[in-house]
Amino acid sequence: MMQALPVDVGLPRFKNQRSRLKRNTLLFRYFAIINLIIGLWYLQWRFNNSINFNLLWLSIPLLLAEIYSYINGSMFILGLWRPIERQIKPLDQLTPAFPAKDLPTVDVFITCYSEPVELVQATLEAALHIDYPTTKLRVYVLDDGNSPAMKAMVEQRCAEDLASPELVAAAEQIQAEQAQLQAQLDRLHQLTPEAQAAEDFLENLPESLESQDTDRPLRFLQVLQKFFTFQNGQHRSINEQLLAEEKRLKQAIARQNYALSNLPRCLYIARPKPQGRPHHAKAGNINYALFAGGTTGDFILTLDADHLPDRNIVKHVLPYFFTYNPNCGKYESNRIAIVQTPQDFYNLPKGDPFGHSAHLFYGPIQQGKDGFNAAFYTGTNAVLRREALVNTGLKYFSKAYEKDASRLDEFDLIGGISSISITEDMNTAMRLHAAGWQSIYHNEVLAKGLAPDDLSSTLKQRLRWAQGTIQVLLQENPWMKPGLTFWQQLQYFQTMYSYFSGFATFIFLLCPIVYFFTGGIPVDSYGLDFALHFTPAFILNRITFLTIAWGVPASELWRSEQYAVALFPLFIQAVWSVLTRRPIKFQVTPKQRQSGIYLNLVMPQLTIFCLTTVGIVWRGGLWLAGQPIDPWVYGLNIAWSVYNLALLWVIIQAAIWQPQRA
Amino acid sequence: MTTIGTKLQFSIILEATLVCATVQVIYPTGLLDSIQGNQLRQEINQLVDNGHPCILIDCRDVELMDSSGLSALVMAFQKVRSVGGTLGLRAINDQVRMLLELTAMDGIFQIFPKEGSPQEAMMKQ
Repeated sequence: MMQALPVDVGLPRFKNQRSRLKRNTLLFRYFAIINLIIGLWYLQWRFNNSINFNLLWLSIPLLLAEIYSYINGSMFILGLWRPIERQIKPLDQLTPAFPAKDLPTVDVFITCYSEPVELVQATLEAALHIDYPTTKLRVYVLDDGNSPAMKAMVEQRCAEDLASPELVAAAEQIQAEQAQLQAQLDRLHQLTPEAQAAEDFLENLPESLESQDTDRPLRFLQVLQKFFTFQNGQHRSINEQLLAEEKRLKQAIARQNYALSNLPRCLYIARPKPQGRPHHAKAGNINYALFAGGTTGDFILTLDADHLPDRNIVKHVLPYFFTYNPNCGKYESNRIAIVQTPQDFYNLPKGDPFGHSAHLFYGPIQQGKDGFNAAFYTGTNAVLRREALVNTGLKYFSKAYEKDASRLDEFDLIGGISSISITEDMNTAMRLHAAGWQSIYHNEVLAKGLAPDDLSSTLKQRLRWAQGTIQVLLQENPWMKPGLTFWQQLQYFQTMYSYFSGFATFIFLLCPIVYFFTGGIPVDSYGLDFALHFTPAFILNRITFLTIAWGVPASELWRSEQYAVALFPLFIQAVWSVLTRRPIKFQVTPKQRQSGIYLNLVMPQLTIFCLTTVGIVWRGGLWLAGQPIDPWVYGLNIAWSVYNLALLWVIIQAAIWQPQRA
Repeated sequence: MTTIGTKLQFSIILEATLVCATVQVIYPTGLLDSIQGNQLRQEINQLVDNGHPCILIDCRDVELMDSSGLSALVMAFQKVRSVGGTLGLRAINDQVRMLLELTAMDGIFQIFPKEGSPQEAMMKQ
């Protein structure tokens, strides 16, 4: 579809990666500028000429809602100003080749909470099959549910894995090397006493022998000893050399021992969760593995329990983290901290009733953010650089510790991934960006997961995103955050700002209803004048949007627009709950379908839907009964209502949606 | 230097409730990264469990410490503090000092310049 292969071996031989502006960007910019100007022109007309002073309680909120939406749209458009497409060669096709011995170690973190064992097992299986040298890849199941069945499953899989030919071969190799080292050490031990004695003899020759200069062999021996002990311009005695060699060998053997004990590459970590202490949800789970779980990988691939990784995920993503330095002929670590890949689902029902398909976000939007070095980390299907995560985490920890020394007890839960909100991912990326690290969006699907397929779970997930994002805004406002560039601040703020849309949406839905039942309209002139100002702004807005979203299926764009409106009660609830500081619990998105019909969850939307429909009929009835009305105003309100109904329909449909029985 | 000295003394006075009859000294070598850090942390855990809550890490042979190595030290610090002990660093090189300053961790650990310094003597009081 829109998957322009980012992994391209067709790159010039000595170019490992390149990025370019997305197609249609110049056209988009052209429309974007006109759009911003026309929008401003419409707003000033609304402000100066069309406020209905007889209905101030509605006309002022409507004007505010329109201003809010204009700012929202403008920031959205500006955020897409520089969308980039990247191409990169996979790890084993880089020029010059990446030395196998320098390959970094990679840890895969599979986070789970209460998911069924089989689901996690499938992910574990896929993770173990990731194409990467076996001794450099480890898979950890981070089980926050602490379930014995999960533990048993991982341990059994670990035993099987240890018996696999690759690991057996690796173990044999290590043992062989160890045996060789041991043999060397033994030989050294054998030689040591004699060698020491010989050295003693040569250094302290008895007077009687020294005087006889005819004894040439002895002199030769002395010279040889001097020669062999001559190192780096100074003499080190044989004894010292032996000791150094012994130390070196012992260290090498210890290293092999360590390698042998670390051969298991499929491990289970479950943290203790003492009562009465904050657990910091998913952030706490990952941090515990980072600091207390004995994990050591240079890079961390985070996967949600249900996300099956492609076997190429590591090799296609790792090259971003290194830059070839031709001056010293080596691949060096760069400042990239995160490479995010798209989220995709393998269980989407036909028509995607819950709007999970996210080709707009994992496409133009992330590419736009990438263009400003602000690609978001979304918690799964991303590779993180451990050094960046821990370094930045330590900085924030020391700040927290300065304020309250008792937070030391929590270090293993808060020292890495940010724990101040229930959307730990966004805040973590923001902190990394502020600390000068960079992020990349790699537009190739390399993992597929399960989307919640019932309304209740979907709503929980969306509520969590909304609440978490607003929490971050309150705790770490991007505009106040030193270290972020203006464009990064804009990207983060835009996302946060967009979650306040619930109030504006409510006003937009309310206006036609007020008209139908009372005849009052918030706009002074709903006639030709209004159409003249509104239509160009609206149409241009659509065209601009289509240019940048080129390639994303129209049905999906429509679905995302529907959900942006239909979720308005949820957005209002999110803002309300955060502002009133009600305690928010991290709700793990259920992976199994919760059956049932959920009309009770969509009461506000259903009410608006019914009122609008009844309203159309009611006003029509009044007209037929002979009440004089302006057909222009009536017509416009009907058009507006139909649009609203079409948007709201999605959530009502989702509430009664049932999977097709096979 | 004098300011650091007073700061140290101050923090040591704060911890004067501690009784450090003996201070255990550990000498890590080479690269203190996530692997070495894990080993060091286990070593310290063992020492603490065996009743030695006062630990001094002599870094004279540490060539390079990365953030994971540092985080292992923080974990060790957490452990010693949980039993009322203390953990100090000694003879750190410039790279380690830079890392500590960059992460603002220099305020968390007690840092002693070299063996037998007067500040270190106070740790034993």
